[in-house]
Amino acid sequence: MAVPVPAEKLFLIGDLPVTNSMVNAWVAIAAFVVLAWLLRRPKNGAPRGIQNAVEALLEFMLGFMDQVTGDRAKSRRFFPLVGTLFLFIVLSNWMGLLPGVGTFGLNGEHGHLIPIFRPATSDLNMTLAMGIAAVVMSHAFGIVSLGFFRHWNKFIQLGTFWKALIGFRHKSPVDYLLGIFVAFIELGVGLIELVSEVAKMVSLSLRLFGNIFAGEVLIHVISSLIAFVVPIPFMFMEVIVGIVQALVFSLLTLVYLTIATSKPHGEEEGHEQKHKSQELSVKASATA
Amino acid sequence: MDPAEAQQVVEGVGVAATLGLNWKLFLAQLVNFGLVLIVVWRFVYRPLMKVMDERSGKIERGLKDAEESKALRELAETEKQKLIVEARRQAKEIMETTEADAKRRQEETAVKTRTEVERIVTDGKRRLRDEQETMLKEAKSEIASLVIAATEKILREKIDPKKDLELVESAIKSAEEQSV
Repeated sequence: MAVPVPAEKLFLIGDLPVTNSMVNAWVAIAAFVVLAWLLRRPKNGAPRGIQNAVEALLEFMLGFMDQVTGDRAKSRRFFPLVGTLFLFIVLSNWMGLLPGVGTFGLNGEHGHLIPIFRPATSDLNMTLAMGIAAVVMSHAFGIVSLGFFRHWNKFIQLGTFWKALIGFRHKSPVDYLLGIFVAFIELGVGLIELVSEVAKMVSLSLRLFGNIFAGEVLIHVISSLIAFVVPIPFMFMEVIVGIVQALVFSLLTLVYLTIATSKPHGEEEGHEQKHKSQELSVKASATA
Repeated sequence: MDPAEAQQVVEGVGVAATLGLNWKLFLAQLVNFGLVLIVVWRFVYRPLMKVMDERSGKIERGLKDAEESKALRELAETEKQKLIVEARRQAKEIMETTEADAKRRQEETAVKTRTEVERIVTDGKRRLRDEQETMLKEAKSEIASLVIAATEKILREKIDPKKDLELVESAIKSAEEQSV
Protein backbone atom coordinates (compact mmCIF):
# COMPACT_ATOMS: atom_id res chain seq x y z
CA MET A 1 0.00 0.00 0.00
CA ALA A 2 1.61 3.21 -1.17
CA VAL A 3 1.54 6.73 0.14
CA PRO A 4 -0.85 8.80 -1.98
CA VAL A 5 0.65 11.79 -3.78
CA PRO A 6 -1.76 14.43 -2.47
CA ALA A 7 -1.97 15.15 1.22
CA GLU A 8 -5.06 13.54 2.61
CA LYS A 9 -8.00 15.28 4.12
CA LEU A 10 -8.57 14.60 7.80
CA PHE A 11 -11.58 16.82 8.50
CA LEU A 12 -13.19 20.07 7.49
CA ILE A 13 -13.12 23.40 9.31
CA GLY A 14 -16.05 25.19 7.74
CA ASP A 15 -15.22 25.10 4.07
CA LEU A 16 -11.51 24.44 4.51
CA PRO A 17 -10.30 20.88 4.28
CA VAL A 18 -7.63 20.15 6.87
CA THR A 19 -4.98 17.79 5.53
CA ASN A 20 -2.42 15.77 7.45
CA SER A 21 0.47 17.86 6.06
CA MET A 22 -1.29 20.99 7.25
CA VAL A 23 -1.32 19.53 10.75
CA ASN A 24 2.45 19.20 10.48
CA ALA A 25 2.76 22.79 9.34
CA TRP A 26 0.86 23.81 12.46
CA VAL A 27 3.18 21.74 14.62
CA ALA A 28 6.10 23.55 12.98
CA ILE A 29 4.45 26.92 13.66
CA ALA A 30 3.96 25.85 17.27
CA ALA A 31 7.63 24.87 17.48
CA PHE A 32 8.71 28.30 16.22
CA VAL A 33 6.29 30.03 18.57
CA VAL A 34 7.82 28.07 21.46
CA LEU A 35 11.29 29.09 20.29
CA ALA A 36 10.20 32.71 20.10
CA TRP A 37 8.65 32.41 23.55
CA LEU A 38 11.87 31.00 24.98
CA LEU A 39 13.72 33.96 23.46
CA ARG A 40 11.11 36.50 24.52
CA ARG A 41 13.54 38.59 26.54
CA PRO A 42 16.97 38.33 24.95
CA LYS A 43 19.68 39.43 27.32
CA ASN A 44 22.20 42.03 26.39
CA GLY A 45 25.03 40.55 28.39
CA ALA A 46 26.80 37.25 27.83
CA PRO A 47 24.26 34.98 26.11
CA ARG A 48 23.48 31.65 27.72
CA GLY A 49 21.62 28.48 26.88
CA ILE A 50 19.16 28.59 24.03
CA GLN A 51 19.85 32.24 23.27
CA ASN A 52 23.51 31.43 22.81
CA ALA A 53 22.69 28.52 20.51
CA VAL A 54 20.29 30.53 18.37
CA GLU A 55 22.70 33.47 18.20
CA ALA A 56 25.47 31.14 17.06
CA LEU A 57 23.13 29.67 14.43
CA LEU A 58 22.13 33.14 13.23
CA GLU A 59 25.75 34.24 13.01
CA PHE A 60 26.71 31.07 11.14
CA MET A 61 23.85 31.39 8.67
CA LEU A 62 24.60 35.06 8.05
CA GLY A 63 28.25 34.17 7.43
CA PHE A 64 27.14 31.47 5.01
CA MET A 65 24.85 33.91 3.23
CA ASP A 66 27.68 36.43 2.93
CA GLN A 67 29.41 33.99 0.59
CA VAL A 68 26.53 34.34 -1.85
CA THR A 69 25.57 37.98 -1.39
CA GLY A 70 29.10 39.22 -0.67
CA ASP A 71 27.59 41.90 1.52
CA ARG A 72 26.53 41.66 5.16
CA ALA A 73 23.87 44.34 4.77
CA LYS A 74 22.23 42.33 1.99
CA SER A 75 22.50 39.10 3.98
CA ARG A 76 20.75 40.77 6.86
CA ARG A 77 17.98 42.05 4.63
CA PHE A 78 17.40 38.64 3.10
CA PHE A 79 17.79 36.63 6.28
CA PRO A 80 14.17 36.74 7.46
CA LEU A 81 12.97 35.09 4.25
CA VAL A 82 15.91 32.81 3.49
CA GLY A 83 16.56 31.79 7.08
CA THR A 84 12.91 31.09 7.73
CA LEU A 85 12.68 28.99 4.57
CA PHE A 86 15.69 26.96 5.62
CA LEU A 87 14.61 26.43 9.23
CA PHE A 88 11.03 25.63 8.32
CA ILE A 89 11.96 23.20 5.55
CA VAL A 90 14.57 21.43 7.63
CA LEU A 91 12.18 21.10 10.56
CA SER A 92 9.37 19.82 8.34
CA ASN A 93 11.62 17.36 6.54
CA TRP A 94 13.01 15.92 9.73
CA MET A 95 9.63 15.77 11.39
CA GLY A 96 8.69 13.23 8.71
CA LEU A 97 11.31 10.88 10.14
CA LEU A 98 9.98 10.93 13.69
CA PRO A 99 8.28 7.77 14.81
CA GLY A 100 4.54 8.22 14.71
CA VAL A 101 4.54 10.38 11.60
CA GLY A 102 2.74 8.45 8.93
CA THR A 103 1.91 5.60 11.27
CA PHE A 104 -0.98 6.85 13.37
CA GLY A 105 -4.09 7.75 11.55
CA LEU A 106 -7.79 7.77 11.05
CA ASN A 107 -9.67 5.00 9.33
CA GLY A 108 -10.57 5.96 5.81
CA GLU A 109 -12.68 4.16 3.26
CA HIS A 110 -11.93 0.50 2.47
CA GLY A 111 -9.78 0.15 5.59
CA HIS A 112 -7.35 2.73 4.23
CA LEU A 113 -5.30 4.46 6.94
CA ILE A 114 -5.18 8.24 6.75
CA PRO A 115 -2.09 9.31 8.73
CA ILE A 116 -2.56 12.29 11.03
CA PHE A 117 0.96 13.55 10.38
CA ARG A 118 2.67 13.93 7.05
CA PRO A 119 5.67 16.19 6.41
CA ALA A 120 4.45 19.63 5.37
CA THR A 121 7.05 19.68 2.61
CA SER A 122 5.65 16.51 1.02
CA ASP A 123 2.56 18.47 0.05
CA LEU A 124 2.84 20.31 -3.25
CA ASN A 125 0.53 23.04 -1.94
CA MET A 126 3.06 23.89 0.74
CA THR A 127 6.14 23.79 -1.50
CA LEU A 128 4.37 25.75 -4.21
CA ALA A 129 3.31 28.33 -1.65
CA MET A 130 6.93 28.68 -0.52
CA GLY A 131 8.26 28.72 -4.09
CA ILE A 132 5.83 31.40 -5.19
CA ALA A 133 6.46 33.39 -2.02
CA ALA A 134 10.22 33.20 -2.61
CA VAL A 135 10.04 34.35 -6.24
CA VAL A 136 7.46 37.06 -5.53
CA MET A 137 9.57 38.32 -2.65
CA SER A 138 12.63 38.44 -4.91
CA HIS A 139 10.67 40.74 -7.23
CA ALA A 140 9.52 42.83 -4.29
CA PHE A 141 13.11 43.24 -3.11
CA GLY A 142 14.17 44.02 -6.67
CA ILE A 143 11.54 46.73 -7.00
CA VAL A 144 12.48 48.23 -3.63
CA SER A 145 16.21 48.38 -4.34
CA LEU A 146 16.16 49.19 -8.06
CA GLY A 147 12.88 50.99 -8.56
CA PHE A 148 9.77 49.71 -10.29
CA PHE A 149 10.68 50.45 -13.89
CA ARG A 150 14.33 49.51 -13.68
CA HIS A 151 13.38 46.18 -12.18
CA TRP A 152 10.72 45.30 -14.71
CA ASN A 153 12.93 46.52 -17.53
CA LYS A 154 14.95 43.38 -16.93
CA PHE A 155 12.02 41.36 -18.20
CA ILE A 156 10.01 43.61 -20.46
CA GLN A 157 12.86 45.59 -21.94
CA LEU A 158 10.86 48.49 -23.33
CA GLY A 159 13.28 50.95 -21.73
CA THR A 160 16.20 49.43 -23.59
CA PHE A 161 14.17 49.38 -26.78
CA TRP A 162 13.19 53.02 -26.37
CA LYS A 163 16.79 54.03 -25.78
CA ALA A 164 17.88 52.25 -28.94
CA LEU A 165 15.03 53.93 -30.81
CA ILE A 166 15.93 57.47 -29.79
CA GLY A 167 19.67 56.88 -30.07
CA PHE A 168 19.90 57.82 -33.78
CA ARG A 169 21.44 61.21 -33.10
CA HIS A 170 24.72 59.82 -31.82
CA LYS A 171 25.13 56.93 -34.21
CA SER A 172 25.64 56.10 -37.81
CA PRO A 173 22.60 54.57 -39.55
CA VAL A 174 24.19 51.11 -39.58
CA ASP A 175 24.91 51.22 -35.84
CA TYR A 176 21.45 52.57 -35.23
CA LEU A 177 19.80 49.71 -37.09
CA LEU A 178 22.08 47.23 -35.35
CA GLY A 179 21.10 48.78 -32.02
CA ILE A 180 17.43 48.36 -32.79
CA PHE A 181 18.06 44.77 -33.85
CA VAL A 182 19.86 44.06 -30.57
CA ALA A 183 17.04 45.75 -28.68
CA PHE A 184 14.56 43.42 -30.39
CA ILE A 185 16.62 40.42 -29.33
CA GLU A 186 16.84 41.75 -25.79
CA LEU A 187 13.09 42.19 -25.76
CA GLY A 188 12.78 38.50 -26.62
CA VAL A 189 15.39 37.53 -24.02
CA GLY A 190 13.49 39.50 -21.43
CA LEU A 191 10.32 37.60 -22.26
CA ILE A 192 12.20 34.32 -21.90
CA GLU A 193 13.42 35.56 -18.52
CA LEU A 194 9.83 36.18 -17.59
CA VAL A 195 8.99 32.59 -18.43
CA SER A 196 11.99 31.41 -16.43
CA GLU A 197 10.58 33.22 -13.40
CA VAL A 198 7.59 30.90 -13.60
CA ALA A 199 9.96 27.99 -14.12
CA LYS A 200 11.77 29.00 -10.92
CA MET A 201 8.58 28.67 -8.92
CA VAL A 202 7.75 25.32 -10.45
CA SER A 203 11.26 23.89 -10.14
CA LEU A 204 11.70 25.05 -6.55
CA SER A 205 8.42 23.58 -5.42
CA LEU A 206 8.55 20.35 -7.44
CA ARG A 207 12.16 19.61 -6.44
CA LEU A 208 11.44 19.87 -2.74
CA PHE A 209 8.12 18.10 -2.96
CA GLY A 210 9.56 15.31 -5.12
CA ASN A 211 12.54 14.65 -2.87
CA ILE A 212 10.67 14.59 0.40
CA PHE A 213 7.71 12.71 -0.96
CA ALA A 214 10.00 10.15 -2.57
CA GLY A 215 11.79 9.76 0.76
CA GLU A 216 8.50 9.16 2.49
CA VAL A 217 7.53 6.54 -0.06
CA LEU A 218 10.96 4.91 0.10
CA ILE A 219 10.89 4.55 3.86
CA HIS A 220 7.28 3.43 3.75
CA VAL A 221 8.06 0.71 1.22
CA ILE A 222 11.28 -0.46 2.93
CA SER A 223 9.56 -0.55 6.31
CA SER A 224 6.69 -2.59 4.92
CA LEU A 225 9.17 -5.09 3.47
CA ILE A 226 11.46 -5.47 6.52
CA ALA A 227 10.41 -3.39 9.48
CA PHE A 228 13.58 -3.69 11.59
CA VAL A 229 17.17 -2.43 11.11
CA VAL A 230 17.02 -2.32 7.30
CA PRO A 231 15.26 1.10 7.12
CA ILE A 232 17.93 2.70 9.31
CA PRO A 233 20.44 3.57 6.54
CA PHE A 234 17.58 4.98 4.51
CA MET A 235 16.56 7.06 7.50
CA PHE A 236 20.09 8.43 7.70
CA MET A 237 19.97 9.22 4.03
CA GLU A 238 16.67 11.01 4.51
CA VAL A 239 18.23 13.12 7.29
CA ILE A 240 20.86 14.24 4.81
CA VAL A 241 18.33 14.71 2.03
CA GLY A 242 16.23 16.80 4.40
CA ILE A 243 19.01 19.27 5.15
CA VAL A 244 20.36 19.27 1.59
CA GLN A 245 16.96 20.04 0.12
CA ALA A 246 16.41 22.80 2.67
CA LEU A 247 19.83 24.18 1.77
CA VAL A 248 19.10 23.98 -1.96
CA PHE A 249 15.74 25.69 -1.63
CA SER A 250 17.01 28.52 0.58
CA LEU A 251 20.25 29.06 -1.32
CA LEU A 252 18.45 29.22 -4.64
CA THR A 253 16.06 31.73 -3.10
CA LEU A 254 19.05 33.68 -1.87
CA VAL A 255 20.58 33.65 -5.35
CA TYR A 256 17.30 34.85 -6.88
CA LEU A 257 17.13 37.62 -4.30
CA THR A 258 20.73 38.65 -4.93
CA ILE A 259 20.25 38.71 -8.69
CA ALA A 260 16.98 40.60 -8.42
CA THR A 261 18.53 43.32 -6.27
CA SER A 262 21.71 43.72 -8.29
CA LYS A 263 21.88 46.24 -11.09
CA PRO A 264 20.89 44.98 -14.54
CA HIS A 265 24.04 44.42 -16.57
CA GLY A 266 24.91 46.72 -19.41
CA GLU A 267 23.54 49.66 -17.53
CA GLU A 268 25.58 52.72 -18.46
CA GLU A 269 23.61 55.47 -16.93
CA GLY A 270 25.06 58.25 -14.83
CA HIS A 271 26.05 57.92 -11.21
CA GLU A 272 22.93 59.67 -10.11
CA GLN A 273 20.80 56.60 -10.38
CA LYS A 274 23.45 54.45 -8.76
CA HIS A 275 23.44 56.71 -5.73
CA LYS A 276 19.70 56.57 -5.66
CA SER A 277 19.65 52.80 -5.63
CA GLN A 278 22.31 52.71 -2.92
CA GLU A 279 20.25 55.10 -0.90
CA LEU A 280 17.24 52.92 -1.41
CA SER A 281 19.04 49.76 -0.40
CA VAL A 282 20.39 51.50 2.71
CA LYS A 283 16.91 52.62 3.58
CA ALA A 284 15.51 49.15 3.00
CA SER A 285 18.19 47.57 5.18
CA ALA A 286 17.45 50.10 7.87
CA THR A 287 13.80 49.15 7.90
CA ALA A 288 14.48 45.43 7.70
CA MET B 1 -14.98 23.99 -27.49
CA ASP B 2 -13.64 21.22 -29.61
CA PRO B 3 -13.18 17.80 -28.06
CA ALA B 4 -9.35 17.86 -28.11
CA GLU B 5 -9.26 21.17 -26.22
CA ALA B 6 -11.77 19.89 -23.70
CA GLN B 7 -9.65 16.80 -23.21
CA GLN B 8 -6.61 19.00 -22.54
CA VAL B 9 -8.45 21.07 -19.94
CA VAL B 10 -9.62 17.93 -18.18
CA GLU B 11 -6.09 16.51 -18.22
CA GLY B 12 -4.69 19.77 -16.87
CA VAL B 13 -7.10 19.68 -13.97
CA GLY B 14 -6.33 16.01 -13.64
CA VAL B 15 -2.58 16.60 -13.24
CA ALA B 16 -3.14 19.29 -10.64
CA ALA B 17 -5.56 17.04 -8.79
CA THR B 18 -3.20 14.07 -8.96
CA LEU B 19 -0.47 16.18 -7.39
CA GLY B 20 -2.96 17.33 -4.78
CA LEU B 21 -3.09 20.96 -5.84
CA ASN B 22 -6.09 22.74 -4.44
CA TRP B 23 -6.36 26.51 -4.20
CA LYS B 24 -7.86 26.40 -0.71
CA LEU B 25 -5.07 24.20 0.60
CA PHE B 26 -2.55 26.35 -1.26
CA LEU B 27 -3.80 29.50 0.45
CA ALA B 28 -3.91 27.76 3.82
CA GLN B 29 -0.31 26.59 3.44
CA LEU B 30 0.72 30.05 2.23
CA VAL B 31 -0.81 31.47 5.41
CA ASN B 32 1.00 28.79 7.46
CA PHE B 33 4.32 29.71 5.91
CA GLY B 34 3.55 33.40 6.39
CA LEU B 35 2.94 32.76 10.08
CA VAL B 36 6.27 30.98 10.41
CA LEU B 37 7.95 33.85 8.58
CA ILE B 38 6.38 36.44 10.87
CA VAL B 39 7.22 34.50 14.02
CA VAL B 40 10.84 33.95 13.01
CA TRP B 41 11.30 37.46 11.70
CA ARG B 42 9.54 39.56 14.32
CA PHE B 43 10.11 37.47 17.44
CA VAL B 44 13.38 35.65 16.84
CA TYR B 45 15.47 37.40 14.23
CA ARG B 46 14.78 41.05 15.02
CA PRO B 47 15.18 41.06 18.81
CA LEU B 48 18.21 38.78 18.64
CA MET B 49 19.92 40.83 15.97
CA LYS B 50 19.24 43.98 17.97
CA VAL B 51 20.77 42.43 21.06
CA MET B 52 23.73 41.08 19.08
CA ASP B 53 24.37 44.42 17.42
CA GLU B 54 24.18 46.19 20.75
CA ARG B 55 26.56 43.68 22.25
CA SER B 56 29.10 43.87 19.47
CA GLY B 57 28.89 47.65 19.67
CA LYS B 58 29.49 47.46 23.37
CA ILE B 59 32.42 45.09 22.96
CA GLU B 60 33.98 47.28 20.31
CA ARG B 61 33.52 50.30 22.51
CA GLY B 62 34.99 48.41 25.46
CA LEU B 63 38.03 47.36 23.45
CA LYS B 64 38.55 50.90 22.26
CA ASP B 65 38.21 52.20 25.80
CA ALA B 66 40.67 49.63 27.08
CA GLU B 67 43.17 50.62 24.42
CA GLU B 68 42.70 54.27 25.20
CA SER B 69 43.08 53.75 28.91
CA LYS B 70 46.20 51.67 28.32
CA ALA B 71 47.70 54.48 26.26
CA LEU B 72 46.69 56.93 28.96
CA ARG B 73 48.26 54.78 31.63
CA GLU B 74 51.49 54.56 29.68
CA LEU B 75 51.45 58.29 29.21
CA ALA B 76 50.85 58.78 32.91
CA GLU B 77 53.70 56.40 33.71
CA THR B 78 56.17 58.29 31.53
CA GLU B 79 54.87 61.55 32.94
CA LYS B 80 55.40 60.21 36.43
CA GLN B 81 58.94 59.15 35.62
CA LYS B 82 59.63 62.53 34.15
CA LEU B 83 58.19 64.23 37.21
CA ILE B 84 60.28 62.09 39.54
CA VAL B 85 63.45 62.85 37.65
CA GLU B 86 62.58 66.52 37.59
CA ALA B 87 61.80 66.52 41.30
CA ARG B 88 65.11 64.83 42.08
CA ARG B 89 66.96 67.34 39.99
CA GLN B 90 65.19 70.22 41.67
CA ALA B 91 65.81 68.82 45.13
CA LYS B 92 69.47 68.46 44.34
CA GLU B 93 69.59 71.97 43.01
CA ILE B 94 67.86 73.31 46.09
CA MET B 95 70.26 71.43 48.33
CA GLU B 96 73.24 72.78 46.47
CA THR B 97 72.04 76.35 46.53
CA THR B 98 71.15 76.04 50.19
CA GLU B 99 74.58 74.71 51.02
CA ALA B 100 76.27 77.44 49.05
CA ASP B 101 74.04 79.99 50.66
CA ALA B 102 74.80 78.70 54.13
CA LYS B 103 78.51 78.76 53.49
CA ARG B 104 78.33 82.25 52.11
CA ARG B 105 76.26 83.43 55.05
CA GLN B 106 78.63 81.81 57.49
CA GLU B 107 81.52 83.55 55.88
CA GLU B 108 79.66 86.80 55.90
CA THR B 109 78.83 86.41 59.57
CA ALA B 110 82.42 85.61 60.34
CA VAL B 111 83.60 88.67 58.52
CA LYS B 112 80.98 90.82 60.18
CA THR B 113 81.85 89.47 63.61
CA ARG B 114 85.49 90.13 63.04
CA THR B 115 84.87 93.69 61.94
CA GLU B 116 82.53 94.20 64.87
CA VAL B 117 85.07 92.86 67.26
CA GLU B 118 87.71 95.06 65.71
CA ARG B 119 85.38 98.02 65.94
CA ILE B 120 84.62 97.27 69.56
CA VAL B 121 88.28 96.87 70.30
CA THR B 122 89.30 100.12 68.60
CA ASP B 123 86.35 101.83 70.19
CA GLY B 124 87.44 100.57 73.59
CA LYS B 125 90.98 101.62 72.95
CA ARG B 126 89.84 105.06 71.89
CA ARG B 127 87.58 105.45 74.89
CA LEU B 128 90.34 104.31 77.16
CA ARG B 129 92.65 106.85 75.70
CA ASP B 130 90.04 109.58 76.01
CA GLU B 131 89.40 108.66 79.61
CA GLN B 132 93.10 108.63 80.22
CA GLU B 133 93.40 112.05 78.73
CA THR B 134 90.51 113.49 80.74
CA MET B 135 91.88 111.84 83.83
CA LEU B 136 95.23 113.31 83.07
CA LYS B 137 93.69 116.72 82.48
CA GLU B 138 91.69 116.50 85.70
CA ALA B 139 94.71 115.25 87.51
CA LYS B 140 96.75 118.14 86.15
CA SER B 141 94.20 120.72 87.20
CA GLU B 142 93.79 119.04 90.52
CA ILE B 143 97.51 118.86 90.92
CA ALA B 144 97.75 122.52 90.01
CA SER B 145 95.16 123.52 92.60
CA LEU B 146 96.77 121.19 95.09
CA VAL B 147 100.09 122.71 94.36
CA ILE B 148 98.58 126.17 94.72
CA ALA B 149 96.90 125.18 97.97
CA ALA B 150 100.10 123.57 99.18
CA THR B 151 102.22 126.47 98.20
CA GLU B 152 99.71 128.82 99.85
CA LYS B 153 99.85 126.78 102.92
CA ILE B 154 103.57 126.78 102.81
CA LEU B 155 103.96 130.38 102.09
CA ARG B 156 100.90 131.36 104.21
CA GLU B 157 100.50 134.41 102.46
CA LYS B 158 100.44 135.26 98.85
CA ILE B 159 103.35 137.09 97.58
CA ASP B 160 101.77 138.20 94.52
CA PRO B 161 98.96 136.47 92.72
CA LYS B 162 100.52 137.26 89.38
CA LYS B 163 103.82 135.87 90.31
CA ASP B 164 102.21 132.98 91.92
CA LEU B 165 100.36 131.97 88.73
CA GLU B 166 103.51 132.23 86.69
CA LEU B 167 105.29 130.06 89.12
CA VAL B 168 102.62 127.46 89.08
CA GLU B 169 102.42 127.42 85.31
CA SER B 170 106.10 126.92 84.95
CA ALA B 171 105.92 124.12 87.42
CA ILE B 172 103.12 122.45 85.43
CA LYS B 173 104.97 122.90 82.19
CA SER B 174 107.99 121.22 83.58
CA ALA B 175 105.79 118.45 84.90
CA GLU B 176 104.19 118.01 81.46
CA GLU B 177 107.51 117.91 79.76
CA GLN B 178 108.53 115.27 82.17
CA SER B 179 105.39 113.17 81.56
CA VAL B 180 105.62 113.45 77.75
